[in-house]
Amino acid sequence: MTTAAITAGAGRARRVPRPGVWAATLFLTLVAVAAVAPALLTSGSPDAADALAALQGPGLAHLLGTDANGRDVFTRIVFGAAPSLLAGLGATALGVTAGTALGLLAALGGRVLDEVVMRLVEVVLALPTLLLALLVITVTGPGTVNVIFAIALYTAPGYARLIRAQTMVIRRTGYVEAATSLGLTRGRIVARHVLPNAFAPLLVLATIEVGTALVAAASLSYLGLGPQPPAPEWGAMLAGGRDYFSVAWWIAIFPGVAITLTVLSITVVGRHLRRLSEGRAS
Amino acid sequence: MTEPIVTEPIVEVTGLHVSFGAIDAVRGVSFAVHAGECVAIVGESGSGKSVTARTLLGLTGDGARVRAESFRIEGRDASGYRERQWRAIRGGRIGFVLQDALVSLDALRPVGKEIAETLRLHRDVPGAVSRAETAGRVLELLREVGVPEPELRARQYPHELSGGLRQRALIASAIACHPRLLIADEPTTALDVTVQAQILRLLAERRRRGSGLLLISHDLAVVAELADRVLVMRDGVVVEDGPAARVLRSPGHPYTRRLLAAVPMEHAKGTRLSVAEGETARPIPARPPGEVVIEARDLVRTFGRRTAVDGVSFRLRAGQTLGIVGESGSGKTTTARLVLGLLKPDAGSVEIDGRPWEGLTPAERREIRRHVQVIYQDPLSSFDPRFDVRRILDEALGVGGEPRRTRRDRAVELLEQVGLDASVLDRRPSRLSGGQRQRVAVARALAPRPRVIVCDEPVSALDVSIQAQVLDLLAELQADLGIAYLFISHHLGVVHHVSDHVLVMKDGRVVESGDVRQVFTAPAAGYTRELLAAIPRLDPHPDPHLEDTRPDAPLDVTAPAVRKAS
Amino acid sequence: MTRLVLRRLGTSLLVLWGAVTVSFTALHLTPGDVADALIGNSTVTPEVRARIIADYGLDRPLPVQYVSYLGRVLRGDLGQSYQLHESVASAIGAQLGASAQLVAGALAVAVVVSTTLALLTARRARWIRGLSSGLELIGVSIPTFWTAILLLTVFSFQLGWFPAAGGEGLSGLALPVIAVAIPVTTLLTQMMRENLETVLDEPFVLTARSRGMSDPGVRLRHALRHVLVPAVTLLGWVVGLLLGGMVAVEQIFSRQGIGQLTLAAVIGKDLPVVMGVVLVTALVYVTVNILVDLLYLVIDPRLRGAR
Repeated sequence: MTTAAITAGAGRARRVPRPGVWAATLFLTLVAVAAVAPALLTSGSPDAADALAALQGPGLAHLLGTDANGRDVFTRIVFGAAPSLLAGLGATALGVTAGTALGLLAALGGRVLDEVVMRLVEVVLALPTLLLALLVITVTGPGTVNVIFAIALYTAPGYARLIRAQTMVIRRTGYVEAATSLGLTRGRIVARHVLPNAFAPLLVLATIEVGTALVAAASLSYLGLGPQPPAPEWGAMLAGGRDYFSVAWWIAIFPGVAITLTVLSITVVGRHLRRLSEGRAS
Repeated sequence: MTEPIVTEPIVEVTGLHVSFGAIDAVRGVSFAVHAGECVAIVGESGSGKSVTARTLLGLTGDGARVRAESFRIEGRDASGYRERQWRAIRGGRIGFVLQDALVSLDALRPVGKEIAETLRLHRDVPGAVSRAETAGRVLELLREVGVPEPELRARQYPHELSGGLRQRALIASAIACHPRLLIADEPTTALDVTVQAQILRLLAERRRRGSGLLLISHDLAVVAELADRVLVMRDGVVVEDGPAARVLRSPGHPYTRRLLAAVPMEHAKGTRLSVAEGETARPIPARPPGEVVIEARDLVRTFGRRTAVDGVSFRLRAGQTLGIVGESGSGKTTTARLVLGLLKPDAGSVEIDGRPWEGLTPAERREIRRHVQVIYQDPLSSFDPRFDVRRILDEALGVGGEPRRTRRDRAVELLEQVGLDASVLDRRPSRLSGGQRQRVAVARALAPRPRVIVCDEPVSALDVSIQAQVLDLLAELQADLGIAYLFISHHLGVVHHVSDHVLVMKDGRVVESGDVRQVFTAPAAGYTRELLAAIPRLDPHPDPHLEDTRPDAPLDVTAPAVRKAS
Repeated sequence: MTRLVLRRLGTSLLVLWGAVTVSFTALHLTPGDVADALIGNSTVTPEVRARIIADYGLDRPLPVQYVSYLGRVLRGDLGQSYQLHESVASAIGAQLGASAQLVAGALAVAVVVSTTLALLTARRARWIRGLSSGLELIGVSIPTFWTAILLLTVFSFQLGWFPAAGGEGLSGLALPVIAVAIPVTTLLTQMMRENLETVLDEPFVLTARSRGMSDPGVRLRHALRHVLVPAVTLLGWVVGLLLGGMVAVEQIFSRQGIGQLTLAAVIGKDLPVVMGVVLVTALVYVTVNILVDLLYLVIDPRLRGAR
C-alpha cells in the first residue's frame, strides 16, 4: 500500500506536462505554422538567388546564412517545413491505414486469412526498411509521392502486426468475456470494446513514428530520391550543403537542426501521450 | 562457542519509524524476537508489516527514512549499520523468505545455484563451508527441508518444480548459513492448502531447532498455527500485542475483534462477518430452495491431452449457493466457463432454466446469457479500461432491456444496492479501491436481473475485512432477490461459510458432494479429509511444545537443547 | 526443441521465398518493357538485349519466367548488372567485407556501450537518469546522415583527427561506426534501462539482496540476464536498421560497401543489383533471427520446454 501509494502519486504528477513537453509543443506549433503559412515567418522567397550574397555566414542580413546560390537558408528552412512534414505525416497516415486494415483482416477474418496476411507481413518485415524503400523508388522513380508510398509500404506491416496482436489480446480479456456474458452481440463487442482499445496504443505509437517517417523521408531526399532541386526540402538542403562542409558549415547544419528538433519534439509529445494513455489504463 | 541458556533477543527494536517521503509507513513499532520463538505480525495490506520486516535486513527500500529509539541485532546497535555490515547480517545472521518462490527465486538459474549463492556470499561466518564443500552442502540443505531427489532438484529451474518444492528450495537458500533468525513474509500465501500445511510444519521445525522466527501474514489462522506472540498492525501502528493465545482468544482491541469476526471459516452461513463497532450482528435470513436454475450433466472438457473437467454433474436451485472447492488445476474455473457457455463441453450438457446451451441460435444464446452473470477474482480486468462506472452499468442495463431514460436512476439504485453511492458514477474503476471495484462488478452482474451469478474466486484478492463485507453483501442480495450463486474458491473457509451445498473437485473430477455441513463435518472422501486437516485453524490443536515456548512461560525453557551450528 | 528449430527454419525459408517473389514483382511492376528495366540507364547493343530476353525468358509466359527466376536464385545466380558489366553476385561479394566491418563494429560498440550505461544508470539518482534519458532522446531523434555530417565536419575538417574520406583500418572506421552505432545504442540503452528497472523491482532481486549480495552483484549476476531476452530481440530487429543506416554513411564518408553499391544502382536504375541486395539482406536478416531464437533458448530455460 505504501509503495503503491507512492507510485500512484508519481503517476498523477506525470499528468502535468513537464516544461520539455511545453517547449516541444511550442516548437511543433511553429513548424506547423511554417508548413501552412510560411509567409508569416519570413518575408523572403525560398528561390530568390543572389550570386553576390553567396556563402555568407549567419548574421543580421541572413539569420542562418546563405547557400552557394545566395539563397537565404532560414527562408528555405521555413518553406521546407511543408514538404518535410507532409512526407512524415503522409507516410504515417498511409501506413497506419493500410496496416490497420491488414491487421483487422488477419485478426477477425478467420484462420486462413490470418495465415496469409501474417506471412506476407513477415516477408516485408524481413527486408531492411530503407533498402525496401530503395527498391520501390528504383521501380517508381524519385519524388515526394513515391517516397511517401515507399515508407508507408514498409511501415504498414508493423502496424498490422500491432493491431492484430492487440486485437487478439483484447479478445481474451476479462472485459470482453464479461460483455459476452452480458449477452452483447459479437459485432457490438468488436465495435465498442475491441477496436477502441486496440486503436489507442496504435495512435500513440503512430504519433511517435511520424518522427521516424520524417527522418526516413529526409534520408531519401538527402540521397537525392525525394523532391528534386531546387525544391526547399530539409533533407535535400542538407545534401546541397554537403559539398561546402569545410567552407560553409551552416548550409548543412541548420536543416539538420530543423529535422532533429522536429523529430525530438514529436518524440517528446508522443511519449507524453503514451504516459497519459498508460496512466489511464492502469 | 557455547550458547548461553538465557539469551538476549536476536533482534530488538523499540519505537521504529519508517517513512517514504511524506508517508509514514511504520509509526512507533516495538518488538523483540528470541531464539526458538515465533513472533507474528498480522495486518491487512498497507499496515506496514512488510516494511517492518524488511527494515530488519536494512532493505527498507529506496528513499525510506528509518528511525528507532533502539534497534539491536544480537545485542549490537544496528541503527548505524553501513551496507557492508548489513550484507554480513543478511543471509548470515538473518534469513529471509518471501511468498511465491516462482517469482522470489531467479527464474533463469537452477535452484541449487541459488542456494549455493548464500553459501558463497558468507565464507567467513562460523559454520561456513569451503568452495569444495558447497555442492555437497546444497544437497544436504535440500534434504533438510524435505526435498526428495536433491541431486536432480538442484539442477532444475524454479518453473520445473512444484509450488511446494520451490518454496522449500527458497527456505533452503535462506537457512543455508544457519541464520539465527528467519523472517518469513507471507511464506504460504500463494500455495494450496495442503502444501501450505507442509511449509508451516517445516517452519515449525526450524523454530524447534532453536531458530527465531518472524512471521508476517495477513492470515490469522496461519499465524495461530505457529506464533508464540502476535502483533496486530494497522496503518503503521501496532494496535495489539501479546501472547498468541490471548490475542486470538480474547482480543483486547476492537480492530483485532473485527479481524477475527471476519474470518469466514468459523461462522456458519447467515452470520454476518463484517460487524461495525458496537453493533450486534443481525443474522441474514436464509431462503428456501426454489426451482432448478442450472443443471449440469456429465460435463467433460479436454485441452489437448489434458482433461480439465471429467464427468461433473450438479444441480443448482434458485436462492441457493453451490460451492465448488478445489486446489489449483482441479477444474473449477473450466467448470465455471462451461456453465457460462463460454466454452463448449466435449460431452455432457448445461441447462439454464431447463434450456441447454447446445442447439440454440446466437440470439437465443444471448437471451440466456442475461440470466447467468459472472464476477471474477480481479474485477479490474473485467472492466473496459476506457469506461467509467456509468458506462459500465449503462451497457449492462441496456442488455437487460432497460429503457434509456430510466437507466441513470436504475444505475444509482444498483449502486445503492451494493453499498455505493452515485458519486462513483463518473469514476473509472482503476481509481476505486479493491472492495469498491468488486461492488461495481456485483452491480453490473445484477443489472440484467440474472437468475444465477457465477462467482469465480470473488474475494481471493481482497483483505479479510473487505472480503467479509463483500461476502455479507452477496448473502444479503441472495436473501433479498433470491439469486442463486455458483461459488468457486480454493479457500475452504470461504466456501464453508457461503454454501448450502458443495462440490469438492480434484483433477477435474468431483470427489465428494453434498450438504455443506455434512461434507465439512463428516467428510466421506479421503481427499476431503486431507484438505480439511490441512486448513490452519484459529484454535490450533494443543501442542505441548507450543505451550513450552510461549514467551510468558518461564524463561529457562526458552532455548531448546539442540542447535546444529554456531 | 527440435520442433521449434524446424518450425523456425520453415518460416525462414518462407520469408526468403517471399523476398524473391517481391523482387520478381518489383521487376514486373516497373513501367515499360522488362528488358529495359533490367538494362536501366546503360546502353546496350541489340545482341545483348536479345540475350537478356532469352536469359530471363521474357518472351515466355509469366509463370514460366517466375519459375526460371526462382531456379536461378536458388543456384545463387542473382543476375547480371549491365551497368557494372559483372554479375550481381560478384559485385555484392566485392563490397560485402567493408560493410560487414562497419555493421559488426557498430553492433559491438552499441552492445558494449548500452549494457554499461544501462547497468550504471538504472534506478540511480534522478539527475543521472534524467541526463541519460535526455541524451537517449536526442540519440533516437537525430538522423544518422546528419550525425555523419556533423562528425565529419567536427572531427575531420575542423580537428583533423580522422581522415575525411575513405581511409583504411581503424582510423577510417571509427567515425562511420560511431555514426551508425548512435541510434542503435540509444534505442538499446533505453530499452535495457527500462527493463532493468522493472527487473530490479522483482521479488527475486529482494531475495538475492536478503542473502547478502551487493547491489552491483545483483545487477550483474541476476538482473542483467533477465534483460538479455528483450535486448536480443531488439538486436535482431536492429540489424535491419544498421543495414539501412549504412547507405548514407558510406556515401558521406566515401567508403566502399553495399550501401554505396545500392545507392549507385538506385540512381542508375540498375534493377538487378537492387534486387540482389534486397535478397542478400533478407538472407542476413533471416540468419540473424534464427540465431536470436537459438540465443533465447540459451538465455531462458523456461523457453526450452515450451513448444
